[in-house]
Amino acid sequence: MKIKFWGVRGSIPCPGPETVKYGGNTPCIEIRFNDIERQIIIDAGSGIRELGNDMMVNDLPKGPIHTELFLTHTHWDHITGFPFFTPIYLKDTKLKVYGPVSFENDTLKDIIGNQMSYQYFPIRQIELASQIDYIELKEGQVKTKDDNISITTKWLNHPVLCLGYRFEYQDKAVCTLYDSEPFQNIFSTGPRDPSYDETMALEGEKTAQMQNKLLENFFKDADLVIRDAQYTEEEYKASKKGWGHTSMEYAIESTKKAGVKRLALFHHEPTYSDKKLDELTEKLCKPHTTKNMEIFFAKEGMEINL
Amino acid sequence: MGNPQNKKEGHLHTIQEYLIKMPSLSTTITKVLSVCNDPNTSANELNKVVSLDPVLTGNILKLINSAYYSLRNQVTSLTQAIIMLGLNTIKNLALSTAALGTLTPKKSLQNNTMDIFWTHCISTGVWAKALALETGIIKSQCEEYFVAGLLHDIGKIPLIHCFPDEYMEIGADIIEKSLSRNTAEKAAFDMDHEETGKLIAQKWKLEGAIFQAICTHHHLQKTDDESHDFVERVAVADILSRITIHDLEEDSVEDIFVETILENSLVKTFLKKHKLALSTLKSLEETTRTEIENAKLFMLIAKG
Repeated sequence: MKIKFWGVRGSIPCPGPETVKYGGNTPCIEIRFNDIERQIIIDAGSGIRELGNDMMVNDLPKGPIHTELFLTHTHWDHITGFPFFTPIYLKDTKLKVYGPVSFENDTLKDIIGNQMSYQYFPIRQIELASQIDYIELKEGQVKTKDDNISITTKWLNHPVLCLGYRFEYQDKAVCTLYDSEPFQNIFSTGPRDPSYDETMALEGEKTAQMQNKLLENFFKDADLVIRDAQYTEEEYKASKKGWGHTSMEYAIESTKKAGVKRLALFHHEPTYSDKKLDELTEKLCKPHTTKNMEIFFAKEGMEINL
Repeated sequence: MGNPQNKKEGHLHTIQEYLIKMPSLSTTITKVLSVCNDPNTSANELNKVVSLDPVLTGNILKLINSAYYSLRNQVTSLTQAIIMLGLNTIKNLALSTAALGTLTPKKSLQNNTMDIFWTHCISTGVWAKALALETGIIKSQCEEYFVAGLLHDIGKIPLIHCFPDEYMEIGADIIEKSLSRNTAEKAAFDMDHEETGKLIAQKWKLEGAIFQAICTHHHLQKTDDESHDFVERVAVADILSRITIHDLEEDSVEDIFVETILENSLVKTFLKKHKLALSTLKSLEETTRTEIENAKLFMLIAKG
């Protein structure tokens, strides 16, 4: 498997002289396979624009584009590049878009496609020449093609339903774990709190532990884990609890325990400059990198062969 | 026109149309909106408000249980659902359910009917949980009894909403002709509330004991063996709840509770089976009354 990062930034694109090294585009990852003609794209953040341009140059001359886009969730930073993904304007393109939706009355087609409506964009979804199919996903095994690539999904903890993906092929596994906060017992645990309820507190604790355990099993022994690590532990504890993101320290500690070979810290905070991420690399990644696990901040344009 | 088969299909069609977007109860919507629109709402408060709203509870269980290609054990606990889906998703589900509106032409009549209905749901939930605790069910499993009690009569909602006039009329038939409610409903709509409840339970993807409680609480002989004891507790809670509410409304003397219990064979058999004393039931009734009053206060529902 070959993994390429086209966008690694969280929340909002942040181009400029301070983000040249790590990149300012929001999430988009591409997976290709050595001996199968199949491309998997994860998320349509602003990084997908460059990917689309690359496909126009390198893939289109070989024939019509048939590809699959797996969305982790539908927050803006993960879908904003979709109208700028050039292949959707070609009549021979076939695109399958997979992703979760929270409520049955909101369809994936409406959520993604309605970015291309008169008020927001000059071209309407209905005017697109390509064939786009939308398929809503749940948690479990997903079979989209008759090949040996295995795809599994897992719910993450984010303020909208959000899926982590595990792609496996020929004994190699890559996992995406973003956007995600560790599951927490959000029920009151202080007996002095007037709203305290013992059953709720105990069940909340048990459920959060169980979900974190299930998450750990989901990425266990993966060759590459691409994981939300937007904040430092200090920032997280000070003011970011409940925002749906993980601290770098937690991401490193919990991934280390699961026998993972490489950890790519991802969904970088938009206010972080290259200098800041370099400092955090020295402070957090290098001390924890061992011969068994490599830890680094993902960079736009970075390619990893598994 | 006038063809009984057409009439039957007409009723079913009306109910199915209604179930596509089942709105909130007028009784609970004000509190649900205020809690879910508040950015500082705590998980405890959200759990409490949801647990007192049968439609919202059903929608959340549906969302959590349809979020998996396969789930070995159904999630029947709101606490679990809130942690797994997150506060924000639950609040938005509540708001989108509320946005479907409540009701409809005969508003005053229905509001009153819905208030009585809501009180009965809560009361049955409280009773079912209390009976479960009193008869050896471990505490962590008792919430499922509350949910089953809360949802057991959910099938009445489409009947009350879709056919308000007819539903009021069958109330009179039940008294005048000494009919059971199910018989009167069948005569009027060709479906009773257990059957409409089954349609909703299927739509909500409920399974197991809660599904059985909705579909068979008046017909325990139809309950599957695995869920029998569970549904029996809910059925007894249903009866006790009616007596409690009657007592609350009439402000009656305590003997009526005991007298009515002793007239009911299902309750008598249940007491004997679990070696429960009447005095225990009486003290449970006190607690239940308090809990109903607290629930009304929390939901901002004026007494009477």
